[in-house]
Amino acid sequence: MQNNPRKTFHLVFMFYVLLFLFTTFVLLYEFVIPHGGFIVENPVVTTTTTSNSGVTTSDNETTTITEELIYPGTVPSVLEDGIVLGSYFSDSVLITIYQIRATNSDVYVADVVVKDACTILTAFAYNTFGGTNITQTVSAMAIEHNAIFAINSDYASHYDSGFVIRNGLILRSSFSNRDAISLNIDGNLSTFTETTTTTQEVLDSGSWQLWSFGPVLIKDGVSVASVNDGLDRDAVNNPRTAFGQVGSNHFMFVCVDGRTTISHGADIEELAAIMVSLGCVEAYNFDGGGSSTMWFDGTLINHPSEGTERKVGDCVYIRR
Amino acid sequence: MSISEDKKIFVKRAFIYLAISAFLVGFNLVYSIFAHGIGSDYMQYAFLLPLIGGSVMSLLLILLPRASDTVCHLWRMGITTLVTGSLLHGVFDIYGSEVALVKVFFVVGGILLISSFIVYIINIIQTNK
Repeated sequence: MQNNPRKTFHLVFMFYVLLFLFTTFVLLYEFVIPHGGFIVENPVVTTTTTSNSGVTTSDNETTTITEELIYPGTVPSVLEDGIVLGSYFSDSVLITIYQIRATNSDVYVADVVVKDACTILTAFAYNTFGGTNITQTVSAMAIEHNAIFAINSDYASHYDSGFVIRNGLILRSSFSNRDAISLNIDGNLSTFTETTTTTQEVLDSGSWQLWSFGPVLIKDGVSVASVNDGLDRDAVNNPRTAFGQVGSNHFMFVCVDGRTTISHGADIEELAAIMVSLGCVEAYNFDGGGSSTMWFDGTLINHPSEGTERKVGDCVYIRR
Repeated sequence: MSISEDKKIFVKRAFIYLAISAFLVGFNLVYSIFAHGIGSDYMQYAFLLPLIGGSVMSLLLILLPRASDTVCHLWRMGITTLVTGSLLHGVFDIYGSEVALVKVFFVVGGILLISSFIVYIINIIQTNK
């Protein structure tokens, strides 16, 4: 093939210019330009204080009728040795925030007891699910939703697949190879592999929230986390966020600080050990690293590893 | 161009690709430090593309029938596209996201390499006629 060298040079040059432009576009598209997604309605929650006990839930509306809520059992010994950073008690929820020390790190634990599992709500950045680069800080989402407590969750919009049920609504049904966790309206957590079921089955079995991140830390009272699960992120010390169940309607939300000289962070097995020490019978790993954020009553509780709060796609929160 | 001049050019190209491979190894090591221990096979093994597709191929071309400029350009563009795709895939792996657009790099890179190979074969057939 005989070519004009000048023409060939121009064609080759054009190719590299196009390659550069396309690479720049892909990077901007993924990291900068907000796009996609759809608005998710906020659940309407009404709380009424009465001497009767009961909960009714219908579609996207929740009505909670409460009576006095009592802490079940005794506080785990590991928390008794910790520092109480704050607490909030109402007829429908008991929240106590502790700071403890574990795995050479500061660990923040929210010991949460609810009357009704539907009290545990979730929110998306700008109420938008499924988009890219649509993010807000946990603090901003918490304030917008009149929360008393909030923590980052699985950043569901970050993935193209994986089950998502939020506040009783199915938002994504395409399965991933991850293990998911469901918070059921009966106040219990259940974990399962997404390929074994469908979102409709999970919803029909009483799911109120479903997260897809993982891995599962504790299942049926047994620690199942392993640093050899094939994911680099699980094997190294990092800031962590986890969610666990102690008993029916009794939950632990945990943030482990990391990537500093004071707090080294935890690998996935160490995180599971922390959840075991808190008495959890089911526990699950949420998005960690710079995303790990715990917020309570207007204050950032943990120390995000990037120095400031990272903007994330979603959070779990409890309303005032 | 004499055979010895060709040989010099191909040896020089082999060293350039070797340097690019070394740069990619270094890039992966530095990136791993900032990725807090999280890695990606795509980024880790990206250096193999210029090493095998560049250095080894350049040395092989000393023994094989001469490749035209078009063949060399297409091959280089293919390797560059695949390396760019591998690095981007690695960045997104470490970030934890799934980006369908990255597949474009592998498809285009593959097409360029196959095109280069086809043109090379056609050139050999035409030369032998």
